[in-house]
Order: sequence, then structure tokens, then C-alpha cells
Amino acid sequence: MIDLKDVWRIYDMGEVKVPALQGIDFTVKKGEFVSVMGRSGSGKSTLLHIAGVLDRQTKGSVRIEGTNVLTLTERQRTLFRLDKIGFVFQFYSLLPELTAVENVMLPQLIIGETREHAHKQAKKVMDLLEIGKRLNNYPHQLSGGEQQRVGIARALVNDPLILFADEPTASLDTTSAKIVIEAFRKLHEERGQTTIMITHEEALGREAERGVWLKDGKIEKEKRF
Amino acid sequence: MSGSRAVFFLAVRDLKRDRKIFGLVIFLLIFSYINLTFFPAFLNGLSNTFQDEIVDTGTSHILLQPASGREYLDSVKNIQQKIELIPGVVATSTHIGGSASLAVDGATAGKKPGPATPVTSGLSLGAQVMGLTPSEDQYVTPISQRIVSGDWLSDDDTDKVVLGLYIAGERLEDKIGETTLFGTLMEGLGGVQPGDVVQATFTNGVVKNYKVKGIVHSEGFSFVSQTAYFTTKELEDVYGLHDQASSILVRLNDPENADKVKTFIIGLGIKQADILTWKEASNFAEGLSQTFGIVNVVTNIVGIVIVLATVSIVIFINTARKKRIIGVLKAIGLRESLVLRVFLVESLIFGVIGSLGGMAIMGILLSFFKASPIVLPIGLLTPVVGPDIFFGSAFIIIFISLFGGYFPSRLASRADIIDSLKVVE
Repeated sequence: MIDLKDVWRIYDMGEVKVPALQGIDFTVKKGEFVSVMGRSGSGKSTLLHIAGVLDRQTKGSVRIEGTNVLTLTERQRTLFRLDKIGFVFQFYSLLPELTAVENVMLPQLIIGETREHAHKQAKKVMDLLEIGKRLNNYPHQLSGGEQQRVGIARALVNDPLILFADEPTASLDTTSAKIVIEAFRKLHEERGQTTIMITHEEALGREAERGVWLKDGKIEKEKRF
Repeated sequence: MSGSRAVFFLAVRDLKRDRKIFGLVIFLLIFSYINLTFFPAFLNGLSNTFQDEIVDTGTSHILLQPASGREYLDSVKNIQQKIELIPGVVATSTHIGGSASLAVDGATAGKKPGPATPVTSGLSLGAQVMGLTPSEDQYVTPISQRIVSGDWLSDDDTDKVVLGLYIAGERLEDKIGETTLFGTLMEGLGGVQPGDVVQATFTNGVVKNYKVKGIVHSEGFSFVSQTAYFTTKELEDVYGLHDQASSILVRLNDPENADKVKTFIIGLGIKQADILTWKEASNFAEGLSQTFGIVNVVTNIVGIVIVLATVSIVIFINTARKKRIIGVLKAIGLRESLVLRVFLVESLIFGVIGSLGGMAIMGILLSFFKASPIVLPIGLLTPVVGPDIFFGSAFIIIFISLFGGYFPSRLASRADIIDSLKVVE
């Protein structure tokens, strides 16, 4: 499903060139739940940005469902993300002026669905994530764990092929973090959701099916849990 | 259209959330709309005030004046009879114009007019004089209704005069510590009252004493308060005229028919007269208005630039604050063009509501001033706005909003996703 071959990402900082990824080979099969771990600066987020079609690699090939994403125009990449990818961000990713259900409806509205249909879909996903009773609460009225599950619901509402989560528990307390991780596990087990989760907490990363450790922009090791 | 629902949804929700910013921008746009419309409305009103007063007391709807090289119109009764037969003509009136030196001697006050003896002490001034026939002029001009003291003239009055207020003047000793309309005391003939006698020395050398029958005054921009009125009969005698006049004023039942009636009058073949409609005769008022209009344009340009800059800054700050959210929206699939549209729709909503608010407030102001005109030294002024300015200004406000919002919105929509996601709010 996701196939990265010899991917390099070099940031050009004037006279200095900083290699964030150095020849990464990374494959994720359909239905896999993979955690990407490593210390700060190891290249985790860069890998997610490239695999998630948010950024372009300097060198190498990135194929998702057989599509070479480097060849896509900016508009095509946006539509690709809208159609095939769901993102869960670390913090402050919900629009404060929208209620929980409205935040979740948003990707549906972007693809042109009616409000009624979008609401129905959003409610369905929120029920799955056990936040169906918080539909009309604004983000500031929700706990950190609930906010993050609303973020997951928004990532899932368009039924994406792949779910990317960038440190989804980083700003949460232990209890909330466990609830969020449990939500990812549930999605993986019940829906076969392909998920790639970035985390710097190994204990949480071990909740995935497979773990990949990055160090200095290279894959240090891989392990199936 | 894909994404349009999301665009309107996001734009409206964003505005609802930032009510203070929304209120500030709307206030600025309403203020700007009023800035764009009120001064032109004031100028239109000023022009109308000038024109109304000039038409009422100077030119009526059509004015016949001696053609170049002539001093008077001849056979005026015949001309009047012909004009009065034209459909739409209410009445005509002849005026004999001239000038004279008027003087008052304290010793003559209260005396009956008698043989003129030179005024050796007292006050004197030069003034415009006008002869008219009260019985016909009452249907053409409202001068007879401007009496503030005493009585108006009768057709047969030969030794009587009605003075404009500024000629009659004020007794300065009664006015110490006061200011008049123009901020200065109008001494004139020192406060002449009906019943007093003034001496007129006409340009042809005729000197005669007249009893003041009344005082007239007009608040408007006219010469009523600066003119001494005599009967036609008296000025014909003074100037040795017969069936002649300096002008013929024609009153119509509909001023908008002036061009049509003028064509009829031209058809009468009156070659001795220049014929002017009220618009032509009072066009200097329009010229004055156009001069003010240039000032208005400069003021408006400054106002527009200020509002443009303000709207740009407000939207720039608004988008800068939302950099991370814009990054998130782009990451989840909101195209760059849709992000731009969200902020443009917000700008459009600002413009439309600002215009509607401005139009509503301007409508209220216009209604208020229609009921209670502004009192100015030149008369009562009712601001008037034509549909071109009323709706044109609304269009400008909407354009300003869109234009002001476009560049910061474009900047925001083009922001790099990764950079935006790194922002911690």
C-alpha cells in the first residue's frame, strides 16, 4: 500500500544542507498498524510528512496504492489527501469555532456532501469512537482525550485508506493517552484500518502491530510486536 | 460546486466567533460608506438650496433678459400676454433692475416724504433696486411672503419702498455684545423701521424721499435682503420707461417642463431677449457644487485608502492568528483556492453587511434631515443622494472589502503546510 524506496529529504538552510531522511526504505501493507519511534530530530515527522503527501522528498520514490505521488500537482496532492489519507495531529487541530460534530463533518463538506449527509457520517464515526454524546460540545468543553478522538473521527470520516497520526498522545495525560491508543487499536482490529503512528513513547508504540525505530534519518531497526 | 459548502460554512462560523473583529470592521465600513455618501449628499443639498432660492427670488423657471447690447426689453406687456398663453405657464412678472444710493437722516425719521433735500449727516449705502408689480409678482416669486416687518407694496405705491433687512440694518447700540448671522454687525442704514423715510439717489440723478413700507428678509442665498423694492410704476417714472423691463420671469406648473416651454417661447420670435431656463440661469450653483466635489473626491480617496489599509490589516492579523488551523485545513484536503475563498467570502460578507448598514443609517439620516433640515447661513439644507451615489458607494465598499481582504487571504492560503503545522498557538 505504501512503498518508500531510498527516500531522502534534505533541507537547504542556506549554505548548510541538513539531511532529515537518508535513504529510507519503508513499506506498509494494507491493514497494518505501524508505529514509528525515535528521539526528537530522528526524522519521524519528516517521514510522516512525506508518506502523508504533505511534503516532497528530495530523492527516492514514494508510491501509495501504486501512485507515484511525486508526479502529482499540488492540487492533485490535496485531493489525494482528501480522498485517501486521514491525519491526526498532535495538538490544537480542531477549529474552536466549530462544535465537535461540525469539526468531524468538515472533510465531508469539502468533498461536496450535504450537511445532512455529513452530519450522519460524522455521528457514525463519533459513535464508533465513543464520543457520540459530545456532538454539540465545542473543543474547549472537551477533555484532551475527547478532543483527540474528535480529531481521529475527523480523520476517519471520509473513510481514508491510511490513517496518519503525528504524536497523537504527546499533549495528553496518561489516562487520556491510553484511551486514544485504545481507539487506534479498535479501529485496526474492527475495521482493518491501515494506521501509521508517530510517537516518541516506546510503551505506546508497542501497542501497534509493528514498530520502526528511526535514528539520524535512517531506519535503526524494525520489530513486530 | 465541491467545497463551496465548506467555504461558506467556515467563513460564517469564523465571523461568528470573532465578533469583536467583525463589529470593528463593519463599523469601519459603515463609517466609510457614510463618509462616501454624506458629503455628496450635503453638496447636492447645498446646490438645491442655492438653486431653489435663486429660482424663487431671482430667475423663476424661465428668465427673459435683454439680448446683448440692449438695456431693457420692450413691449413687455405684449410678450407677457403671448407667454401666458403657452400651456404650463402659471404667470409672468416683469422686473426693472437698477441701483441707487440710499441714505437716512436722523432728522427725517417719522416724517412724511416730502421734497428731497440732501442728507448731510447720517448713514448711506449703495444698493440694488428692483421695480415689480406686486399683483402679478405674487404668482411668480415668493418675495412678498418674506416680509418680516411692516407691509408689502401695492401696485399704486409711488412714494414707498420695501427694504431688504441688510439695507435697513441694525441699531448698533442695541446689538453690543451680540453677533449676527455672519458674525459681524450689519449696520446698513442703522436700523430703519417701517414708517421711517429714506432718500434714494438713482444713477440717473433722480433724488427722492421714500417712506419705508416694510422690511423683507430671506435666510437663503439671495439678494432679497440686499435689495430695495419699488413698484414698477415708480421705477418707470424714475427711469422714464414705458412698457419696458430688465427681465421677465416666467413661472411654470412643472419646472421640469422648462426646456419645452423655452422652445415655445423661442418660437414666438422674441429676438430682443436671451431666454434661459432655471437650470441655465442658476448653473453657477452647480459649478460651485462641482468645485466642492473635487474636495470631496480627495476626502474620499483618503477615506478609502484608510479603510482599505484597515481591512487589510484586520484580515492579515486574522489570518496570521489562524496559521496553524489553515495548515490543518490544507492537510485534511482543503485546497489552496478554497482557503482563499473562505477569507474572500468573509471579506464579501464584511462588505455586504457594511454597505447595508451604511445604506440603512444613511437612509435614517436622510429622513431625519428631510424632516429637520440643517440650518445654515445660506438657508435650510436638506442633504440629497441620488441612486448613483447611494448604490455606487455600496459597490465601492464591497470592492474595498474584497480588495483589502484579497492579498492577506492569498498570502494565508499559500502558506506552506509544514511551516503552518509547526506553529504553536
